[in-house]
Amino acid sequence: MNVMNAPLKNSDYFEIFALTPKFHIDMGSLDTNFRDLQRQVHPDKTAHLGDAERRHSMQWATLANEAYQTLKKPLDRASYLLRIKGIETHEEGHANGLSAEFLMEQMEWREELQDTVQSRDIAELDKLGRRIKKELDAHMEILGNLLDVEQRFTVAADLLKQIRFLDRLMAEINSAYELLEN
Amino acid sequence: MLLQIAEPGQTIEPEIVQRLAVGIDLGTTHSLVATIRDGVPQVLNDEQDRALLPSIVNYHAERGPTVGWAAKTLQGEDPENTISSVKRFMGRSLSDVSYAANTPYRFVPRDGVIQIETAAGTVNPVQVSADILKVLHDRAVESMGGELVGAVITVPAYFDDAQRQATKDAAQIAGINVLRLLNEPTAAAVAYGLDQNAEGVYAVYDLGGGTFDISILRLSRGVFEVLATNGDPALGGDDFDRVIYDWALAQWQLQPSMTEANALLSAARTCKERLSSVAQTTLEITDRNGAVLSLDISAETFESLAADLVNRTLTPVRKALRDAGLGLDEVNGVVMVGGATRMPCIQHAVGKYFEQEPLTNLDPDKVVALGAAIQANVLAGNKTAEDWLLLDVIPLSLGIETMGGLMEKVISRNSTIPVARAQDFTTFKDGQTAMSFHVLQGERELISDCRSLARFELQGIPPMAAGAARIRVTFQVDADGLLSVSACEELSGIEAKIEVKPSYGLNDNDITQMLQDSFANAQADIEARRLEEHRVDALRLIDATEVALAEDSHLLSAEELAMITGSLEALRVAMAGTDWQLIKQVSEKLNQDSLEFAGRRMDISIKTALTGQTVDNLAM
Repeated sequence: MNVMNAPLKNSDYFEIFALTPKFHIDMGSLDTNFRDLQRQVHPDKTAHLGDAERRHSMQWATLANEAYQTLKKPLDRASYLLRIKGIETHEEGHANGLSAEFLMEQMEWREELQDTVQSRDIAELDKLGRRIKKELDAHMEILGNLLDVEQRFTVAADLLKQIRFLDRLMAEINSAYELLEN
Repeated sequence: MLLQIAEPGQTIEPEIVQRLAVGIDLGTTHSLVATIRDGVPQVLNDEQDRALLPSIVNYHAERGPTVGWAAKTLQGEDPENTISSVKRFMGRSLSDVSYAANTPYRFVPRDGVIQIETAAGTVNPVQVSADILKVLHDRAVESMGGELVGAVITVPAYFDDAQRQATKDAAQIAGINVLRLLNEPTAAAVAYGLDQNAEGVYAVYDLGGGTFDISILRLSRGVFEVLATNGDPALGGDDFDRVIYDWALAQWQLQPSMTEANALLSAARTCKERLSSVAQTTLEITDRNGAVLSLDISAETFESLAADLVNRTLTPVRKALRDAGLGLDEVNGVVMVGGATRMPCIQHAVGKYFEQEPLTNLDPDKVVALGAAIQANVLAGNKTAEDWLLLDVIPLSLGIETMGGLMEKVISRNSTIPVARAQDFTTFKDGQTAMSFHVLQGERELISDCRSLARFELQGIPPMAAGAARIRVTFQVDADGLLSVSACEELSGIEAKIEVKPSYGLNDNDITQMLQDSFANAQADIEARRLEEHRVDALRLIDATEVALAEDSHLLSAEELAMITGSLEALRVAMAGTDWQLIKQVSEKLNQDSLEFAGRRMDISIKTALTGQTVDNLAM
């Protein structure tokens, strides 16, 4: 590589790794293509070159990392995919648009989690974790279908919002393990 | 220049010139320098064929600093002027380091940065480290027969931004071009991985003289990808000496003099090292009356004394595995790094935890320097046989203070570097034209539990209704793991932009002075940089003074209080202008006026340190 230009400002994350913009992607190709790109652009490869090249290399490597992290995580990938379809998802902490039924269920689960933590019951925590995981997996499958097959993006955005709640609950369950272990 | 033409039929072999580059392991107790010779990484020894250089510097009134083995021999007779384990002070203020209370040094009270009074004048940790680096640099130049292109310097993976910046400054003062700051466990993984052709997930357990790191890496077809890192920046082999020391004092019921304390500490170290190969040994010192005190210590006793320290290393190990999203059964090997991993109690505990024998086939003292040399060779642009790539992470989350004293994370820990992330903020009041930011590093929610890296202000925001402005704050972490922050108002199109590099208490003047003392340095747009940095410093000084007054103004008389608040007001006025010399002058006045106050506060904080109530003891 002799000359490296700065990356374009709105580079498409899928395009960077030569992937079709879909929810279901080949994770192996993502990994391989990410590494191949970093082998080209990483600042370690340009440390002995001039200022401009080093700057571009840093911008490229930063973009590659950002793109890779986004596409690697299913929820972030879905969110990004919706964004390039023109739908901004404001998932963080917004309860509007969610059904009362869904929110009730969330509250119940959270209470259950608190109870297991208070009673320090690891077996119950395992059980709760498995249930949420199952729920999460089922939702993800529907999400994949909505995005890749039915292409109903607004519905997918609503579902994604729900999945974020479940995902956060899963994270809380994981930190509860940490609490119970200490 | 004339063009060269080869004789017909004769080809010219391009001359391949090896660009000289080294890897330096700047350790708490020992330092090393290594390079690549004939394609093989090797450590460069001193004239007496010793690889290790004790990280000890003695300062003397009539001669330059003495570094290494010679300084080590002076430790007993001249403890006040012989600085060891200076790495524990890098990028820290005195109140951060509880260890300081156990040292014989004469600390000079000053906000922010640690300063030590010696026979050769006041020195700071950056200078002491630079003096160690100079010796290694000279050793390399002599051994390799030419000036270096640069060096890769290793730092503990869990070093924060201030500690990294301090290390880089030390190298600059030593006249070394820093090709990269490299995390120690990552360096070890490179040396190990290339040497053994390793593939799979590896844990690197790195217990050095004063720091502990654990890194989890995936090695796959020449790519070294750090998945997670964790550690304790103030836990190392030194602490194991200390448990023997404390135990002996308790057994003897001794209140040691400074000489006794030094003798006992070095005897404790020898005992610890001996207990790695024998089951029992004797601890012996001569007391102030010339009597010999002795005490038998068994490996078993030591193991029980050290149990707490050993366990303290396992908490970060658990956290790192969790962050990597891996179970114990997914770890293919555990590489042991750092001299302290020679202790059998460490090897047992690690073996038991990971349910496998740890890997000790590379010299734990040398493997970090060798890995750094391998990377230095690549960064210098030399051709290598293998095409490999390193993907490292930042150890601690970076964020910004929001309403209510909470930290909003902008970049989370274990993000692959280089990384950039932007966050948008808006104005709180109608017509607001300035906004101040506080940059933090750490994992806790409360800002008081995080490390403050920098404060800065964005001015010149065009007046708008509250909530209308869009201030985009961008965090960029480079491949050295160093942060820069910029803020800019996006909607108005009017340029209101600022960029800061966090520093750690040493101001521009200190650095310039140190550079002048050391060698003539290139000067580029110094005026603008000075103004910016003096403003940042002044902001910090104002802030620190306000905090100090809020906490401890009862330590001052009415006159003293009036003098300090007067200078504080003068500095605020000076800050509004563009005369950096005035800002500096008024800052100095304020510093001078607060000197006595700072001294009183420091006495209290050292007393607190002695009772163990410092940030060192708080889990991050």
